[in-house]
Amino acid sequence: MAQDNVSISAHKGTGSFILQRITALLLIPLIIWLLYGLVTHIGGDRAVVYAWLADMRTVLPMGALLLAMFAHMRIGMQEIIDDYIHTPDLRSMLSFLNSFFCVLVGGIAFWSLLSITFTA
Amino acid sequence: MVELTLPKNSKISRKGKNFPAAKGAKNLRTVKIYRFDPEAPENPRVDSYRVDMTGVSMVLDVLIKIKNEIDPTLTFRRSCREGVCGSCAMNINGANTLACTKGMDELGKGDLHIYPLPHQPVVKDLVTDLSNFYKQHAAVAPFLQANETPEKEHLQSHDDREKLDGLYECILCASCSTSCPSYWWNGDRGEEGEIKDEYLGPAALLQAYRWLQDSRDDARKARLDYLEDNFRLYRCHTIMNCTQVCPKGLNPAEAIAGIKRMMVERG
Ligand code: SF4
Ligand code: FES
Repeated sequence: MAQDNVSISAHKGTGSFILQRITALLLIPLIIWLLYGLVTHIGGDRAVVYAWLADMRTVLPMGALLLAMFAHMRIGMQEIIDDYIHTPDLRSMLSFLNSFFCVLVGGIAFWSLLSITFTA
Repeated sequence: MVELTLPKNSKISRKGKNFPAAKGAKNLRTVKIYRFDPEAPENPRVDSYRVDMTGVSMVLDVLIKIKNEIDPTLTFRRSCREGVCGSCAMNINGANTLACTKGMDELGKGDLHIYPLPHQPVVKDLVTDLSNFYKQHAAVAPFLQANETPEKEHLQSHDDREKLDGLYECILCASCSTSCPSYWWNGDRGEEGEIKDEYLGPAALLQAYRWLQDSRDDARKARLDYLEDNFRLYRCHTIMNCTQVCPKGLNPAEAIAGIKRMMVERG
């Protein structure tokens, strides 16, 4: 009977389904905050922006923004890969590259933020 | 990769035939119909019929009239001719629906364009092979699974019975699933007989939800376990073509959302 196939169900998808929606909600205020922050620093020199980035009131939302954005990006790209790439090997490879890219670039961004904070 | 071109030998050729109107016919309308014969060495074509619409009310009547009076080789499936059996589902003027319940008065004035259900293997003309669609229906175990056998019947309160309204009426015509782009991309992925990395499609998921909602059923956990899959369930991106086309007025998209809600609630 069909339900014997349960073992081949991947038992996944719900986690990223929830995370995709939570990060989407978080990103709405965070992106507005970021745009506001950028606009108010138009014309400011490097030192001013540096000081803004090092401020704890910036670090927390910026850190949250980076985390939410890269998590959201990874899941979104994964959806596209799952939709359109039908060769299993190619799909696995692209999924790996997608995660790798998001962790790497997100990590660099996060690390840059922290290093500005702690060196300023 | 995603297939953006048609498989070999399925491009529509320009060799469609024209069937002019019978002498003295009035009230004429042009009906263009997809034709494909697997035994002929030719690609599919679109034939054009000039049909006298006097006394014709439904699209199925048009097809029957063509078959009876103009071209007996035209092949299509029908049985009940009243929207109960689901056999006459096809693509009429760009939307999947039942030929027998689609009124000519709903179709405006211009030519009629009739094609088989999209993205299914064509057996002949308007007849598609729905084996995979039925396999997906079977996969959700569309029957009662109760732990105990009651002396007489499985009882259900009126309120619980009402929860099945809008779910049980599906006639498995496949209009919804074959209108869904996600189903086109991922509805036929598994090897023969198995469902792996394959989207089950709106019709099968509507039935899955119908049994998940049934107060008499005890297999809820196993059902959810089976559905919790990146492909079987989560290829639904809420495109809503399914709900738009369902000729029975059902809402598979809402049922799928219901399954996702159950997944989230159970964590
Ligand atoms: S839900 Fe509607 S469109 Fe889909 S198979 Fe059932 S009756 Fe047909
Ligand atoms: S002939 Fe039965 S649904 Fe159309």
